[in-house]
Amino acid sequence: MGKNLEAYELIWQKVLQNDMQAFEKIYKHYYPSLFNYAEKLTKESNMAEDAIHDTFLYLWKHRSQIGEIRSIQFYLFRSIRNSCLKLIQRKSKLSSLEEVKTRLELTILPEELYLKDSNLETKKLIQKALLELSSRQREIIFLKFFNNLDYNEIGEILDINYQSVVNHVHRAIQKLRKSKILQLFRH
Amino acid sequence: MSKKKNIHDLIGDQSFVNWVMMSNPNDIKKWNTWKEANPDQSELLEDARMMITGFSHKEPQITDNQTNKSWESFTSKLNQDTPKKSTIIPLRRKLLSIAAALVILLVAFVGIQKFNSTPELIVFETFENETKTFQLPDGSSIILNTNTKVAFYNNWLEQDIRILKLEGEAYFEVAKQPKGKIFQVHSNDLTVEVIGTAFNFNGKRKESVVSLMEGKVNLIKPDIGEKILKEGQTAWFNKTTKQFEIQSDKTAYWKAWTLQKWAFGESTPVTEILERIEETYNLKSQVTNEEILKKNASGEVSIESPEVLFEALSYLLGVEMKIEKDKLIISIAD
Repeated sequence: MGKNLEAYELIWQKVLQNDMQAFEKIYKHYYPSLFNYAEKLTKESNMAEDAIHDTFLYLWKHRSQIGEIRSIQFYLFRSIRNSCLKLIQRKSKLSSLEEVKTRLELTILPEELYLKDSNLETKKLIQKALLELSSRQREIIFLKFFNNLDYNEIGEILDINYQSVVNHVHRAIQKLRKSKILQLFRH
Repeated sequence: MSKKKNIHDLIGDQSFVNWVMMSNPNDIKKWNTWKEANPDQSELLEDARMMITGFSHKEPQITDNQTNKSWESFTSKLNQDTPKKSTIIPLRRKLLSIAAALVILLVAFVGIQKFNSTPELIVFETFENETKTFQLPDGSSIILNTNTKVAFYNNWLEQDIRILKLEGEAYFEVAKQPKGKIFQVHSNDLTVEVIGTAFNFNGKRKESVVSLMEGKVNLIKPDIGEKILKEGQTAWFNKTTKQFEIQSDKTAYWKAWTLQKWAFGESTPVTEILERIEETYNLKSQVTNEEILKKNASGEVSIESPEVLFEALSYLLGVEMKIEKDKLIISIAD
């Protein structure tokens, strides 16, 4: 499953030479998917925007210390998730990051999927089936299927081991198969 | 190859991945053979295949406009950080060194200092779904409720009367003021003068409501009169009687929002609750039966989300609450 690793990792090398235009390219390329992710985590577009700004500010300021990045997408998704957690903690005044992590909720909507038919009944069924998955399962599915991160990267982003990630997705797929909606997805 | 496989065996096997992606003819053959020989594991095979290919999804609907705007505000944040620090300090150092050298320039220095010291306004604010805590230069702290602004000048600490302007609602814990300094909070209609205390100032209503948890405050109704408030008292000005009305032992109710809840105590009238809903969620209420307005609630409710709140209130009051066209419709539950 070779990913096209070269393009943005090379552009990052230009950033290491202080090329602001290269930085802008990276920002604008990843912004839509990062914003999408941050908004799903924080449920607020202001916080999502702040998380993105915080991440990129840090990235720019510390670029020489960070040096080469093997996978820009992985680095950004991990940073964004951490920024979001911190912002949520600050806002909700929960005492620990652990508490924030346990209350984290990620939603996937039927509208985001390509379905074999899109009448209301189908959407309702899919909505129900998605709600029966755990938030963790949804987040892994979101990162894997919507953003093409691999299971190892997802493990590092969520701070769980590779086997757990694979098991979570497998169980999710089995649940979706059982509720008979798997056949409704187009692959 | 009839050993029972598990999901990890398949996902982790590059030859299997190649079969799924149809990228290697040997692997395609290998796994087709395996598939035929192991019909009982066909579901596992399908699961593993799906875990590699995923399913089709739509791209997030984020416009180029939004992306570009985001980049613009990012660059302004980036530029805010660095230049500021580097311009102020050299200027001061430069001025000081010149002043040390010549008397004439000393006069010029004083002139420039005065010119440079038009006080700047500092503003703390919160928006719709947030409450925030801030520290003031004297060590006092304020918690701002939703949709609230607090403003003061940056020479605040030096003034004899330290004035904060409040629009909205905030809970204050005021540090003891040094001798000769007075701490005042002004809303549109009321001034609270503080003598080292903890109080809640609700400036969201036509007549502000101040609730005193600790210490002593003086309420000043400009051009009309003053009233000293004691611990445990809550007060607001009554325009009709032209007097301050006092409520005792309700401070827990006025402060509860700082703990993400509303605390009704033994009894809080529905009319007050509806007013609170309006100022917090911008939602006007409409009752279908006048009897509802005579009801009371007791106990506590969480305000972590409006849905949770309305459900709890419906239960406490024996009513049904529904939002229709930006209004909260309340009817008796059957």
